[in-house]
Amino acid sequence: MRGTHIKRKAPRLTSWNRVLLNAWCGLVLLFLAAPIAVVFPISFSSSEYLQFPPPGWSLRWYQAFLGDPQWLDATLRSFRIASVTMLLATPLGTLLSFCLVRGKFQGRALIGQMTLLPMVVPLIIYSIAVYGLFAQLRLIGSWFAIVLGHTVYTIPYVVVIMTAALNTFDESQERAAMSLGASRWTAVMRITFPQLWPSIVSAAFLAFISSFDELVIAMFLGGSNMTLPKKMFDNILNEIDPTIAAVSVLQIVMVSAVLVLVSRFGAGAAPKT
Amino acid sequence: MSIHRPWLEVSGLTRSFGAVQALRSVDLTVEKGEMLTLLGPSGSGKSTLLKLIAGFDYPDSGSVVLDGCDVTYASPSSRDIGMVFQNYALFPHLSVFENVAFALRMRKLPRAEIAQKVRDALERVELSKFAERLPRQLSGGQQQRVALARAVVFGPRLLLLDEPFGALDRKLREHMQLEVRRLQRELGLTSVFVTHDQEEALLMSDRIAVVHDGLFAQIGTPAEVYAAPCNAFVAGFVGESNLFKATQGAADTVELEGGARIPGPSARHAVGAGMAVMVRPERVRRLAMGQTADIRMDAKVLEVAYVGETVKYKLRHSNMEMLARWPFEGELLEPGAAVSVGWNRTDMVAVDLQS
Amino acid sequence: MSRTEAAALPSVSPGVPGIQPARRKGPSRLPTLLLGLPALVFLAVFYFIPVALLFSQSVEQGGVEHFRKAVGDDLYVRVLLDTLLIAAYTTVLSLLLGYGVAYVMATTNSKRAGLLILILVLLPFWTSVLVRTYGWMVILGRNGVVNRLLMSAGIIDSPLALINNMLGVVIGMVHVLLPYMIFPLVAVMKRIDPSLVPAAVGLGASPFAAFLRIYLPLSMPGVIAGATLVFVLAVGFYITPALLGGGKVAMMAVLIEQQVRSFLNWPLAAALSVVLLLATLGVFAAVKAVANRTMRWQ
Repeated sequence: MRGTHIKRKAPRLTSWNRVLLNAWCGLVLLFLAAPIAVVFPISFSSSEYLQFPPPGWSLRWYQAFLGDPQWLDATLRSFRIASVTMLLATPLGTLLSFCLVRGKFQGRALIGQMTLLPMVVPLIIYSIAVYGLFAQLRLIGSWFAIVLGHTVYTIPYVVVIMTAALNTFDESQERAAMSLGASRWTAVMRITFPQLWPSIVSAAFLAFISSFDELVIAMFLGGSNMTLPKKMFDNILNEIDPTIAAVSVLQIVMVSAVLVLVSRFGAGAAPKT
Repeated sequence: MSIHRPWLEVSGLTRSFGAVQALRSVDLTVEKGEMLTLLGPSGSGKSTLLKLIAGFDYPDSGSVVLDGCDVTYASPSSRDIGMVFQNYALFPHLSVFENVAFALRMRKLPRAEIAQKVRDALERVELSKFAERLPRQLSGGQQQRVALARAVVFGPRLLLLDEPFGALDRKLREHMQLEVRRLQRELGLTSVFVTHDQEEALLMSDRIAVVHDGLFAQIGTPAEVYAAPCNAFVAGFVGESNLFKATQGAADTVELEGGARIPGPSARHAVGAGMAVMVRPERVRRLAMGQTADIRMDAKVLEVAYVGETVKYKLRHSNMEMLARWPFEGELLEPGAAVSVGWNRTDMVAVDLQS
Repeated sequence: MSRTEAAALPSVSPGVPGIQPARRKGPSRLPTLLLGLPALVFLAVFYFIPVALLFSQSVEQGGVEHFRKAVGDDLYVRVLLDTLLIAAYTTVLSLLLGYGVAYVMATTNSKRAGLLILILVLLPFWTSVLVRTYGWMVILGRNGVVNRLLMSAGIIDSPLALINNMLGVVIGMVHVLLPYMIFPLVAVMKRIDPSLVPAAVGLGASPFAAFLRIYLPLSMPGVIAGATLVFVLAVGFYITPALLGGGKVAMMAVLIEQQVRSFLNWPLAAALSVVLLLATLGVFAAVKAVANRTMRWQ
């Protein structure tokens, strides 16, 4: 472990250039924030139709969501699926990362590439593929089937985060621990693991959120048992009422809470490709 | 009659990585309480040898015997060897106390004993007040002392140091060199020290093993290695030297490349054999008028380098270039100046051309 | 640990054939392959097998008949080209919008500003695509924010068609994929030596020239990484085109879904999937080849 390093300052552009650049950056950030910001006022609108600006304020859409067993059912189902997916994908992905980073066998690079395929190959292809297979096995509609599909989908994300973490981990610490009398296993448990924990937390949260928000796989495998995203999707297509806005706001709040937790206890939430 | 047994014995150790032979059947012994330095340039094989002794790699053939036990294939955790790594490898999530206590916890010592031993170790390296700090709150030098305390607290049979001072600035490095030496002597710890810095090696060691290309070029005390290098590599690597290629002549004379025949050092080669004559720059003396020496010549100053206490001069005599090092006496010679220099037969050493 | 006397050391000299003991593998050879096995088996069973089965369906019975349809039929070719076109638009726009943000994020000296920008990029990134797409529907719809604002300001008489067409889809997709452009860019930009541009300026270059000739080429790896990622993801997108396209914008993913759900035409869907995958991988390979050729200093 080295001491601190000196941070070098970035070059200063001329002040005009810098102002223009900052303004442009600000506009783009505004663009990024716009759709997220816009759902907030709509969710409090008293009108049944999509009106902007809202004619009045009301909490009726939140009440509609919380009072509707179908919405709550879908939400709980999504929670359950996401939790199990997280518990499944995180250990599998972490172990796989160890294998990819520390392993010394042939074809390691190839296996690494193949692990990332579920991220690169268009999701629709995988969705219908697994739909076809599970339909034959009569697994459609089962929440666990969705868990399996989601686990496949989220393992690459876990692997990306954990391999980055393992690559920056100083392996000589493990050797130091072994020279001091620890077995390999003890060294990993006592030294490596505690330091990797923040990254594991981030990976777990990412897996959770990815599963919770996932639509396409859930759409095919869920059958008539809907997850929250599926119900939201149907709702949007049928343009029913702004309940969807209330659900969106709640989802944004949930994601923000998770992000705060990740920044507190996790590490590496921003993908470093 | 008891047979004297060295504390660490390395025999016939060989290790290759694919086509590269990192170690070519080396033998080494280290006596109890001795500080032996492996000195060599990068890629010479010294780090490989250290890894084999520590247990982080197994040899292709050969053995490592420590205190009578064959540890060649023993796991690193069972060898009872303390190691100080190049980058310290402190555990960043553990306090200084916990770092030092680690080995003791692995050995499941009672809590009170651990606390006592850690306190003693920290006192030895003068870090008692830092017990509860985290490594990142310490300076480089302090981190290094923690690494040292951690490696010695459990009374290891052997201490290995892998170029530990590389990252320290000069003053700190000199301080730490003395510290480590003092600690090692106090504890009577047999130690193997790896470095590429020959000054450091000369300073710290009881014996030096000069490593070159997977083999030991020479093993001896610092004085031996410096004053009596056995080949051109050692002569050139340890300290600065002037090497003149020559052919061994009769009656302790040598014939230099240019054809000149001069008195030579004590012959170590057969007449007619190719060899080199080595003269250390500080032995190339400036001769006053009328002063005699076994070898004497007029030379011209080519370059001047002032280094504080001494001055290095590059001189030329006909087709020979040489380095001389003289104490600074208030005046520097200019390039182009003419001087008379010389040395005696006792200032010369005959070395092998091959390494 | 054995207590062997010195005399009991191996007395065999290396190089004696047949008697030399085999070299033991190094210590701590943790069977790392074993660690990865559970995940790999899982992926094999639940990913590779289903996908392989799907692809096999595209060549059943009639051989390449379905492929002929997939690449020969005007309708489907149209969709493929539109998909690639939309993906291209999305990529270019993301690059234009994202480069500036990435630059500011990578070079800002204020820790606060850097953090703020990170949050503003991270929050959309982690927010559900559905929510973001819905937000765009609210903004771009006939009664949406933009139209309302423009109409009440008297700039237009009747609402602009901003969704249910390619424009809406591209806007939505750029929004979703922008973070995927920004993060690789930032990663590369952070590694650019900050003293290079001042050095160029010191040698006589105007700030703009220094940027063009020094900074931009150095940031290319990030540009390529981000653009590839965005393009590949855009080609396979489903949700945003489905919602913002209103059924009028056909992208491959939407088409494939239709074939399975509405027409139950599995073989065709499989063939289309293969075509889509090949297009995706083709872009990947092409970019890699060009990048390797032009960036040999990397």
